[in-house]
Amino acid sequence: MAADEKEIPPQEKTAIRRVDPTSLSTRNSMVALRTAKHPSDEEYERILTRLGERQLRRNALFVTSVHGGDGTTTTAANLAGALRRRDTSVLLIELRLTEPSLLRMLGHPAEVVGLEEALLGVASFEDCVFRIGESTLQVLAVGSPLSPEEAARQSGALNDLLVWAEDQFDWVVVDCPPVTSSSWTRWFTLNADPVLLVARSGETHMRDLKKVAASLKDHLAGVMLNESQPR
Amino acid sequence: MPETSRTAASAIKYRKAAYIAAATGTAVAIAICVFLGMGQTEFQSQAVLSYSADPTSGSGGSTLSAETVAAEALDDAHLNTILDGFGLYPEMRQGSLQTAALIRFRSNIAVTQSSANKQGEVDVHLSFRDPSPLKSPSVANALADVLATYAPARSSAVLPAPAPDDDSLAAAPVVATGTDNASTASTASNPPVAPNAVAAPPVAPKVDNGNLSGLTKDQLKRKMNWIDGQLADLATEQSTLHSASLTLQGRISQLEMAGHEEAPAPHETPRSVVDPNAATRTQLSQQLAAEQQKLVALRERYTDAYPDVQTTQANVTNLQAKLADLPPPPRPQSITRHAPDLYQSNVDQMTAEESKLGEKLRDVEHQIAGLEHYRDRVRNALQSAPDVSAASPQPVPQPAAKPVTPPPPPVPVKPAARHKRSHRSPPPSAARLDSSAVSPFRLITSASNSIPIRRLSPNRLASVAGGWLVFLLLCLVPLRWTESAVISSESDVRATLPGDIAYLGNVRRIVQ
Repeated sequence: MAADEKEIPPQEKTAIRRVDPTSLSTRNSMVALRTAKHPSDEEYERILTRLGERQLRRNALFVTSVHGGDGTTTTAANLAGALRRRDTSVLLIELRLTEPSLLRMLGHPAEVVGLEEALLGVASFEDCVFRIGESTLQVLAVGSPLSPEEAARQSGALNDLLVWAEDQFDWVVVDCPPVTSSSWTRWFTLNADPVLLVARSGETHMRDLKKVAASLKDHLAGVMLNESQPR
Repeated sequence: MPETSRTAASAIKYRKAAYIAAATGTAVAIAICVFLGMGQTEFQSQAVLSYSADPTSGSGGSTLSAETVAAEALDDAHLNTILDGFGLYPEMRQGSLQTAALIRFRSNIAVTQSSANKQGEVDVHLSFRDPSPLKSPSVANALADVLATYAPARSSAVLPAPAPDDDSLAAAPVVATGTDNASTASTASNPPVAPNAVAAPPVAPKVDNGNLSGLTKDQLKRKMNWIDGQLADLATEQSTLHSASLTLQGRISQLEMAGHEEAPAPHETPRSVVDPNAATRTQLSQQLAAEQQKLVALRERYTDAYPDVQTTQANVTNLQAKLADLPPPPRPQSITRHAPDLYQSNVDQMTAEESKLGEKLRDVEHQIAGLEHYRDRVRNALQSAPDVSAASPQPVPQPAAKPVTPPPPPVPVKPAARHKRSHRSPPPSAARLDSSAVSPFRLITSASNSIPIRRLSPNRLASVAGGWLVFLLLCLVPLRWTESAVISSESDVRATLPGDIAYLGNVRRIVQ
């Protein structure tokens, strides 16, 4: 991506909604989205470094987990925040269409158009994007959950979204539904690549992690452990 | 244990232990199967007896089972005698291991009974297992003899008596009970097996057969039983040999006729080479064989004083006389001289075989005569022997108080009042021998063959497989437990995932 494009990104030409980082809840674990540094930032930076060593095939990263509640959304947001610190344009996309949680974790910012409207053709992707403060991190989040049937019919729109996002941003971080849930449709099985699998300490079972890792096959870029016990 | 406290690291440790245990259990199961399969083969022989609580009346009504009575009859004294006589378990017959030998001996003896019939009698199957296929039936028969001669009132008075060591019996071709059925059935082509080589124990109790008056009545009765059994076997063999000889003679005649039909010499007519009395000879021989078998069967049950026995004996004598009166068959040499070579060779071969059979037949007849001679001696001694067994429970030979009966002539002489074998039901007119000592067991079938026992029988295999499966299930418990363990550290993740999947790092709990 050229330097001039970084200075004037395409989405800047439209009136992008902004969310004030200071408005984020203090109980929010998305520490990388904040302005101040947090000790956990280094851990996410280390994960990004190791991911870079894996020589990923594309500038997208699909974050998923074995079960719900393993911290997928938090991890995706913090990884996107860590990428933001590398002075790259980053788009965080929430694809948990049936069970969205990103906007709730961001404190329900006002005047945000949900991604479902773009998928359903009511709005454009640009209309749904909003920015976290003055950073280069932009977000596409689901406002209202879709039914499983509606979510399953969005394969074409999701393909368009990925093409658009990878074209417009240096990095695209996708918050995906858990692999073992019904929301992990065939579209994810085919298009989620590379995948970062999140396991949660004290929650994820050995057999489940092994099973999910085997099902992802070559799409799996690596595994990280969330909320590990301090030694 | 709460599930969250099960760390994968500890689970993996247990899982490895479970895998090792499962592999060890599988190896042990395989080793057991191999051991059972390759272990020493044992042979089992079985004798069948009939058990009646009241043998004098032939009806049941006893509260004691046959197995209980058999266990009482097969006491240590009897078993030790058999152990010594047959030289069983020589490695355990020294010092403090004698009791162990007795225990092992008992463990190889099995007595089972069937349900009672209308007469209250039950069939008792007495089986014995031993690595030796020759000893197994002999020991089984010895045990069966103990039961057959067991008298509850004086149970320890009778000891099993192996084959008498008498000069007159030295060459007796007893159809050995230790050989299998095939060998006994093929006596026409194979020589009979010497009894001492198979059935007789190597260290048989010595009995002074030259002085029969020194024996007790029970011992003499046992001798009588043994002699009767040998005579029955010899009679069977005699009949078999006779039939085989007749068959060969008929075959020779047919070959000679066929050879003459193809012979070029016109002056030698087939009529001149055919035995004109062949049909009569064959018929008489068949009748003789049938009568001899009938006589043997009758002697098994009745004394010689029984009318049927006397009638049958007379028939046998009559048939033998008729056969002797027949002119001898023409010699085949003059006829086969003109037969073709093929017929000639066959006729020569069969003639040689027929000659051998004749020799064997004469040998058997000689042995029968010797046995009958000896039986007469024993019978005479039995009639004069005192009945001391009831008063003396120990098998001590009684002093010879009576003079030895002079030996009868070698020609078999049937006494007028011959007592029957004690374990057969007598006819109303027959006298019973010492009915107070009649055993509740009657020998029906002696052990005549030994059946190899498959050590890796389905039952044993099922036991091993069942134990192995239970062990594997027990091993699966920790395996299942380890599968349900949760991940708590980087090492858990690394241990869980294959090596080609990268571990990217961990993020500690975010503290606000």
